[in-house]
Amino acid sequence: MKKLRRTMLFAPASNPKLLFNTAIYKPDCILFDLEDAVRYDEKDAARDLLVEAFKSIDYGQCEVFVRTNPLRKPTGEKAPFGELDIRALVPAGMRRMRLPMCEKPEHIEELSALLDEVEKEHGIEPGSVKVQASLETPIGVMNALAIAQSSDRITSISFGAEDFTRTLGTDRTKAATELFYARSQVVMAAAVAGVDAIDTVWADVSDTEGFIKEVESAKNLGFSGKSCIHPSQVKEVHNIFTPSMAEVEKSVEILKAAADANIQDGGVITVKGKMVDIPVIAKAERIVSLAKGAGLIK
Amino acid sequence: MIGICGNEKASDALVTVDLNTVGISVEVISKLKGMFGNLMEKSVMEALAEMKAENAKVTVQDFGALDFIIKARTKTAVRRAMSAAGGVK
Repeated sequence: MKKLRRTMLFAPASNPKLLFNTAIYKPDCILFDLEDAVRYDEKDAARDLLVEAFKSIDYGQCEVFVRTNPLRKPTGEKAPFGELDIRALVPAGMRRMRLPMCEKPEHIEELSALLDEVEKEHGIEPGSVKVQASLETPIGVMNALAIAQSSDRITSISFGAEDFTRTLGTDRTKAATELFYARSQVVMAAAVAGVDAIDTVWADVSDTEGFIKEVESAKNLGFSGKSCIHPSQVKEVHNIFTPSMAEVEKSVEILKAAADANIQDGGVITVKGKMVDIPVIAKAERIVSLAKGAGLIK
Repeated sequence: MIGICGNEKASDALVTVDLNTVGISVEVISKLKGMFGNLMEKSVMEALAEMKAENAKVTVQDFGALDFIIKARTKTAVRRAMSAAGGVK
Protein backbone atom coordinates (compact mmCIF):
# COMPACT_ATOMS: atom_id res chain seq x y z
CA MET A 1 0.00 0.00 0.00
CA LYS A 2 1.33 3.38 -1.00
CA LYS A 3 2.19 5.78 1.81
CA LEU A 4 0.07 8.85 1.17
CA ARG A 5 1.68 12.27 1.13
CA ARG A 6 -1.32 14.30 0.02
CA THR A 7 -0.71 17.01 2.59
CA MET A 8 2.40 18.33 4.31
CA LEU A 9 1.24 20.82 6.92
CA PHE A 10 3.85 23.40 7.90
CA ALA A 11 4.25 24.28 11.59
CA PRO A 12 6.98 26.57 12.91
CA ALA A 13 8.99 24.56 15.45
CA SER A 14 9.44 27.70 17.55
CA ASN A 15 5.76 27.59 18.61
CA PRO A 16 5.39 25.08 21.47
CA LYS A 17 1.64 24.68 21.03
CA LEU A 18 1.98 23.62 17.40
CA LEU A 19 4.33 20.81 18.37
CA PHE A 20 1.50 18.94 20.07
CA ASN A 21 -1.66 20.14 18.36
CA THR A 22 -0.83 20.11 14.64
CA ALA A 23 -1.56 16.38 14.37
CA ILE A 24 -5.23 16.90 15.31
CA TYR A 25 -5.86 18.30 11.81
CA LYS A 26 -4.84 14.89 10.46
CA PRO A 27 -2.53 15.87 7.63
CA ASP A 28 -0.72 12.94 6.03
CA CYS A 29 2.55 14.64 7.00
CA ILE A 30 3.56 17.38 9.41
CA LEU A 31 6.48 19.56 8.41
CA PHE A 32 8.06 21.18 11.45
CA ASP A 33 10.02 24.16 10.24
CA LEU A 34 13.36 25.24 11.63
CA GLU A 35 14.24 27.34 8.60
CA ASP A 36 12.36 30.38 7.27
CA ALA A 37 9.63 30.45 9.93
CA VAL A 38 12.11 30.70 12.81
CA ARG A 39 13.91 33.90 13.77
CA TYR A 40 17.71 33.76 13.68
CA ASP A 41 18.00 34.30 17.45
CA GLU A 42 15.44 31.58 18.18
CA LYS A 43 17.02 28.79 16.12
CA ASP A 44 18.56 27.17 19.20
CA ALA A 45 15.31 27.28 21.18
CA ALA A 46 13.25 25.86 18.31
CA ARG A 47 15.72 23.01 17.86
CA ASP A 48 15.59 22.15 21.58
CA LEU A 49 11.79 22.21 21.54
CA LEU A 50 11.70 19.84 18.60
CA VAL A 51 14.25 17.48 20.17
CA GLU A 52 12.14 17.18 23.33
CA ALA A 53 8.94 16.86 21.29
CA PHE A 54 10.39 13.91 19.37
CA LYS A 55 11.31 12.25 22.68
CA SER A 56 7.86 12.81 24.22
CA ILE A 57 5.13 12.78 21.57
CA ASP A 58 3.66 9.89 19.62
CA TYR A 59 2.45 11.38 16.33
CA GLY A 60 0.64 8.18 15.38
CA GLN A 61 -0.03 7.74 11.68
CA CYS A 62 1.29 11.21 10.82
CA GLU A 63 4.59 11.14 8.98
CA VAL A 64 6.72 13.81 10.64
CA PHE A 65 9.24 15.76 8.58
CA VAL A 66 11.58 18.51 9.72
CA ARG A 67 12.65 21.28 7.41
CA THR A 68 16.14 21.78 8.78
CA ASN A 69 18.28 24.76 8.01
CA PRO A 70 20.46 24.32 4.92
CA LEU A 71 23.99 22.96 5.17
CA ARG A 72 25.32 25.59 2.76
CA LYS A 73 24.72 29.27 2.15
CA PRO A 74 23.95 30.32 -1.45
CA THR A 75 27.60 31.40 -1.70
CA GLY A 76 28.71 27.82 -0.99
CA GLU A 77 30.06 28.58 2.49
CA LYS A 78 28.97 26.37 5.37
CA ALA A 79 25.70 27.62 6.85
CA PRO A 80 25.50 28.04 10.63
CA PHE A 81 22.59 25.82 11.74
CA GLY A 82 22.00 22.90 9.36
CA GLU A 83 24.57 20.51 10.78
CA LEU A 84 23.60 21.38 14.39
CA ASP A 85 19.96 20.61 13.54
CA ILE A 86 20.83 17.19 12.16
CA ARG A 87 23.25 16.23 14.94
CA ALA A 88 20.61 17.08 17.56
CA LEU A 89 17.48 15.75 15.86
CA VAL A 90 18.53 12.39 14.45
CA PRO A 91 19.37 10.92 17.89
CA ALA A 92 16.07 12.34 19.20
CA GLY A 93 14.09 10.43 16.58
CA MET A 94 13.91 12.48 13.37
CA ARG A 95 13.59 10.04 10.46
CA ARG A 96 12.21 12.33 7.74
CA MET A 97 13.61 15.67 6.74
CA ARG A 98 13.29 18.27 4.01
CA LEU A 99 16.53 19.85 2.83
CA PRO A 100 15.78 23.41 1.70
CA MET A 101 17.35 25.14 -1.29
CA CYS A 102 18.72 21.93 -2.79
CA GLU A 103 20.40 22.77 -6.08
CA LYS A 104 22.62 19.86 -7.08
CA PRO A 105 23.29 16.20 -6.26
CA GLU A 106 26.38 17.23 -4.30
CA HIS A 107 24.09 18.84 -1.70
CA ILE A 108 22.39 15.48 -1.12
CA GLU A 109 25.70 13.63 -1.12
CA GLU A 110 27.06 15.98 1.56
CA LEU A 111 23.88 15.55 3.61
CA SER A 112 23.92 11.79 3.17
CA ALA A 113 27.53 11.60 4.37
CA LEU A 114 26.61 13.57 7.49
CA LEU A 115 23.59 11.35 8.11
CA ASP A 116 25.79 8.23 7.66
CA GLU A 117 28.10 9.60 10.35
CA VAL A 118 25.34 10.54 12.81
CA GLU A 119 23.47 7.25 12.35
CA LYS A 120 26.68 5.29 12.97
CA GLU A 121 27.59 7.40 16.02
CA HIS A 122 24.22 6.67 17.65
CA GLY A 123 23.74 3.05 16.58
CA ILE A 124 20.87 3.87 14.23
CA GLU A 125 20.32 1.60 11.25
CA PRO A 126 22.16 3.03 8.24
CA GLY A 127 19.88 4.80 5.79
CA SER A 128 17.06 5.23 8.34
CA VAL A 129 16.76 8.97 7.80
CA LYS A 130 14.89 9.69 4.59
CA VAL A 131 15.15 12.96 2.73
CA GLN A 132 12.88 15.20 0.72
CA ALA A 133 14.90 17.54 -1.47
CA SER A 134 13.32 20.97 -1.83
CA LEU A 135 13.85 22.50 -5.26
CA GLU A 136 13.42 26.25 -4.99
CA THR A 137 15.67 27.76 -7.64
CA PRO A 138 15.99 27.45 -11.42
CA ILE A 139 19.21 25.44 -11.04
CA GLY A 140 17.57 23.14 -8.51
CA VAL A 141 14.67 22.52 -10.88
CA MET A 142 17.00 21.95 -13.84
CA ASN A 143 18.89 19.36 -11.74
CA ALA A 144 15.69 17.73 -10.45
CA LEU A 145 16.31 14.29 -11.92
CA ALA A 146 19.96 14.11 -10.85
CA ILE A 147 18.95 15.18 -7.34
CA ALA A 148 16.04 12.72 -7.15
CA GLN A 149 18.37 9.88 -8.18
CA SER A 150 21.34 10.95 -6.06
CA SER A 151 20.66 8.79 -3.00
CA ASP A 152 18.50 5.94 -1.74
CA ARG A 153 17.53 8.30 1.07
CA ILE A 154 15.46 10.43 -1.30
CA THR A 155 11.78 9.53 -1.02
CA SER A 156 10.36 12.72 -2.47
CA ILE A 157 11.17 16.05 -4.04
CA SER A 158 9.24 19.23 -3.41
CA PHE A 159 8.83 22.45 -5.31
CA GLY A 160 9.07 25.87 -3.65
CA ALA A 161 7.56 28.62 -5.77
CA GLU A 162 8.31 31.66 -3.62
CA ASP A 163 12.10 31.36 -3.77
CA PHE A 164 11.84 30.01 -7.31
CA THR A 165 10.12 33.14 -8.65
CA ARG A 166 12.45 35.35 -6.60
CA THR A 167 15.55 33.75 -8.08
CA LEU A 168 14.00 33.60 -11.54
CA GLY A 169 13.40 37.33 -11.35
CA THR A 170 9.66 37.30 -11.74
CA ASP A 171 6.51 37.51 -9.63
CA ARG A 172 4.22 34.72 -8.61
CA THR A 173 0.77 35.05 -10.14
CA LYS A 174 -2.45 33.19 -9.43
CA ALA A 175 -2.54 31.99 -13.03
CA ALA A 176 0.85 30.37 -12.28
CA THR A 177 2.00 30.33 -15.90
CA GLU A 178 5.49 31.26 -14.66
CA LEU A 179 5.57 27.96 -12.73
CA PHE A 180 4.21 25.58 -15.37
CA TYR A 181 7.54 24.48 -16.82
CA ALA A 182 9.18 24.06 -13.42
CA ARG A 183 6.26 22.12 -11.99
CA SER A 184 6.23 19.80 -14.97
CA GLN A 185 9.97 19.28 -14.70
CA VAL A 186 9.70 18.36 -11.00
CA VAL A 187 6.87 15.91 -11.62
CA MET A 188 8.67 14.28 -14.56
CA ALA A 189 11.87 13.89 -12.54
CA ALA A 190 9.97 12.36 -9.62
CA ALA A 191 8.19 9.91 -11.91
CA VAL A 192 11.46 8.80 -13.52
CA ALA A 193 13.17 8.43 -10.12
CA GLY A 194 10.17 6.68 -8.57
CA VAL A 195 9.69 9.18 -5.75
CA ASP A 196 6.87 11.47 -4.69
CA ALA A 197 6.53 15.06 -5.92
CA ILE A 198 5.10 17.62 -3.50
CA ASP A 199 3.78 20.92 -4.80
CA THR A 200 4.47 24.37 -3.38
CA VAL A 201 2.38 26.25 -0.81
CA TRP A 202 -0.55 28.55 -1.58
CA ALA A 203 0.01 31.65 0.52
CA ASP A 204 -3.37 33.43 0.21
CA VAL A 205 -5.32 31.54 2.85
CA SER A 206 -8.41 33.73 2.29
CA ASP A 207 -8.69 32.70 -1.38
CA THR A 208 -10.16 29.22 -1.09
CA GLU A 209 -11.44 29.18 -4.67
CA GLY A 210 -7.98 29.96 -6.04
CA PHE A 211 -6.46 27.37 -3.74
CA ILE A 212 -8.81 24.63 -4.94
CA LYS A 213 -8.02 25.45 -8.59
CA GLU A 214 -4.32 25.25 -7.86
CA VAL A 215 -4.63 21.92 -6.02
CA GLU A 216 -6.64 20.47 -8.91
CA SER A 217 -3.97 21.68 -11.29
CA ALA A 218 -1.22 20.12 -9.16
CA LYS A 219 -3.04 16.80 -9.08
CA ASN A 220 -3.58 16.83 -12.83
CA LEU A 221 0.09 17.59 -13.45
CA GLY A 222 1.02 14.49 -11.45
CA PHE A 223 2.00 15.75 -8.01
CA SER A 224 1.52 13.37 -5.08
CA GLY A 225 0.48 16.12 -2.70
CA LYS A 226 0.81 19.70 -1.61
CA SER A 227 2.51 21.65 1.13
CA CYS A 228 -0.03 23.47 3.30
CA ILE A 229 0.42 26.50 5.51
CA HIS A 230 -2.96 26.46 7.26
CA PRO A 231 -5.02 23.63 8.77
CA SER A 232 -8.05 24.69 6.72
CA GLN A 233 -6.18 23.67 3.57
CA VAL A 234 -5.76 20.04 4.64
CA LYS A 235 -9.36 18.98 4.04
CA GLU A 236 -9.51 20.63 0.61
CA VAL A 237 -6.33 18.88 -0.54
CA HIS A 238 -7.50 15.52 0.78
CA ASN A 239 -10.83 15.91 -1.03
CA ILE A 240 -9.06 16.50 -4.33
CA PHE A 241 -6.23 13.98 -3.99
CA THR A 242 -8.44 11.15 -2.69
CA PRO A 243 -10.24 9.13 -5.39
CA SER A 244 -14.04 9.17 -5.32
CA MET A 245 -15.89 5.99 -4.37
CA ALA A 246 -17.16 5.78 -7.97
CA GLU A 247 -13.56 5.78 -9.22
CA VAL A 248 -12.59 3.20 -6.63
CA GLU A 249 -15.49 0.88 -7.45
CA LYS A 250 -14.72 1.14 -11.17
CA SER A 251 -11.05 0.37 -10.52
CA VAL A 252 -11.85 -2.63 -8.36
CA GLU A 253 -14.10 -3.92 -11.12
CA ILE A 254 -11.36 -3.46 -13.73
CA LEU A 255 -8.79 -5.29 -11.58
CA LYS A 256 -11.18 -8.18 -10.96
CA ALA A 257 -12.02 -8.48 -14.66
CA ALA A 258 -8.32 -8.30 -15.59
CA ALA A 259 -7.45 -10.99 -13.05
CA ASP A 260 -10.31 -13.23 -14.24
CA ALA A 261 -9.17 -12.82 -17.86
CA ASN A 262 -5.49 -13.23 -16.84
CA ILE A 263 -4.35 -10.19 -18.84
CA GLN A 264 -2.13 -8.52 -16.21
CA ASP A 265 0.93 -9.23 -18.36
CA GLY A 266 -0.66 -8.49 -21.71
CA GLY A 267 -3.90 -8.68 -23.63
CA VAL A 268 -7.05 -6.65 -23.96
CA ILE A 269 -10.61 -7.03 -22.69
CA THR A 270 -13.58 -4.71 -22.44
CA VAL A 271 -15.28 -3.76 -19.19
CA LYS A 272 -18.66 -2.06 -19.61
CA GLY A 273 -17.80 -1.32 -23.23
CA LYS A 274 -14.43 0.28 -22.52
CA MET A 275 -11.05 -1.13 -23.46
CA VAL A 276 -8.90 -2.41 -20.61
CA ASP A 277 -5.22 -3.12 -21.16
CA ILE A 278 -2.00 -2.82 -19.13
CA PRO A 279 -1.97 1.02 -18.75
CA VAL A 280 -5.61 0.99 -17.66
CA ILE A 281 -4.87 -1.79 -15.18
CA ALA A 282 -1.90 0.16 -13.81
CA LYS A 283 -4.06 3.26 -13.29
CA ALA A 284 -6.72 1.16 -11.56
CA GLU A 285 -4.04 -0.31 -9.28
CA ARG A 286 -2.87 3.21 -8.39
CA ILE A 287 -6.39 4.33 -7.51
CA VAL A 288 -7.01 1.25 -5.36
CA SER A 289 -3.67 1.82 -3.60
CA LEU A 290 -4.58 5.46 -2.91
CA ALA A 291 -8.02 4.38 -1.65
CA LYS A 292 -6.45 1.87 0.72
CA GLY A 293 -3.98 4.49 1.94
CA ALA A 294 -6.83 6.90 2.58
CA GLY A 295 -8.80 4.24 4.44
CA LEU A 296 -11.65 4.15 1.89
CA ILE A 297 -11.30 0.39 1.43
CA LYS A 298 -9.31 -2.37 3.14
CA MET B 1 26.13 34.13 33.15
CA ILE B 2 22.39 34.44 32.84
CA GLY B 3 20.38 32.73 30.10
CA ILE B 4 16.71 33.28 29.33
CA CYS B 5 14.41 31.32 27.04
CA GLY B 6 10.69 31.11 26.35
CA ASN B 7 7.71 33.44 26.29
CA GLU B 8 4.91 34.68 28.51
CA LYS B 9 2.35 32.98 26.28
CA ALA B 10 -0.17 30.20 26.78
CA SER B 11 1.35 26.70 26.66
CA ASP B 12 4.82 28.16 27.11
CA ALA B 13 7.17 29.01 29.96
CA LEU B 14 9.77 31.68 30.53
CA VAL B 15 12.86 30.11 32.07
CA THR B 16 15.75 32.07 33.56
CA VAL B 17 19.00 30.34 34.45
CA ASP B 18 21.78 31.96 36.47
CA LEU B 19 24.96 29.92 36.54
CA ASN B 20 26.73 32.33 38.90
CA THR B 21 25.73 30.41 41.99
CA VAL B 22 26.65 27.38 44.07
CA GLY B 23 24.51 24.27 43.94
CA ILE B 24 21.08 23.95 42.34
CA SER B 25 17.90 25.78 43.22
CA VAL B 26 14.62 25.78 41.31
CA GLU B 27 11.74 28.20 41.74
CA VAL B 28 8.47 27.50 39.95
CA ILE B 29 5.92 30.27 39.52
CA SER B 30 2.69 28.77 38.22
CA LYS B 31 -1.03 28.72 38.86
CA LEU B 32 -0.70 24.97 38.62
CA LYS B 33 2.22 24.66 41.01
CA GLY B 34 0.15 22.79 43.60
CA MET B 35 -0.80 20.11 41.10
CA PHE B 36 2.22 19.91 38.83
CA GLY B 37 5.03 21.75 40.60
CA ASN B 38 6.94 18.54 41.32
CA LEU B 39 6.75 17.46 37.68
CA MET B 40 7.92 20.89 36.53
CA GLU B 41 10.89 20.69 38.88
CA LYS B 42 11.64 17.19 37.63
CA SER B 43 11.77 18.48 34.04
CA VAL B 44 14.18 21.21 35.09
CA MET B 45 16.40 18.76 36.97
CA GLU B 46 16.49 16.40 33.97
CA ALA B 47 17.51 19.26 31.71
CA LEU B 48 20.26 20.39 34.10
CA ALA B 49 21.59 16.83 34.36
CA GLU B 50 21.66 16.44 30.56
CA MET B 51 23.47 19.77 30.28
CA LYS B 52 25.86 18.79 33.08
CA ALA B 53 25.03 22.01 34.94
CA GLU B 54 25.96 21.52 38.61
CA ASN B 55 25.52 25.12 39.73
CA ALA B 56 22.34 26.84 38.59
CA LYS B 57 19.57 29.02 39.96
CA VAL B 58 16.52 28.33 37.80
CA THR B 59 13.29 30.29 37.74
CA VAL B 60 10.36 28.90 35.76
CA GLN B 61 7.44 31.22 35.02
CA ASP B 62 4.88 28.77 33.74
CA PHE B 63 1.94 29.60 31.50
CA GLY B 64 0.57 26.10 31.08
CA ALA B 65 3.58 24.47 29.43
CA LEU B 66 3.82 20.71 29.08
CA ASP B 67 6.80 19.00 30.72
CA PHE B 68 8.77 18.62 27.50
CA ILE B 69 8.47 22.33 26.83
CA ILE B 70 9.83 23.27 30.26
CA LYS B 71 12.69 20.86 29.72
CA ALA B 72 13.49 22.32 26.30
CA ARG B 73 13.27 25.91 27.56
CA THR B 74 15.61 25.05 30.46
CA LYS B 75 18.17 23.42 28.18
CA THR B 76 18.23 26.42 25.86
CA ALA B 77 18.48 28.86 28.78
CA VAL B 78 21.42 26.88 30.22
CA ARG B 79 23.16 26.87 26.85
CA ARG B 80 22.61 30.59 26.48
CA ALA B 81 23.98 31.21 29.99
CA MET B 82 27.03 29.07 29.19
CA SER B 83 27.50 30.93 25.93
CA ALA B 84 27.26 34.27 27.73
CA ALA B 85 30.01 33.03 30.04
CA GLY B 86 32.17 32.13 27.05
CA GLY B 87 31.54 28.39 27.37
CA VAL B 88 29.45 26.08 25.23
CA LYS B 89 27.79 27.63 22.19
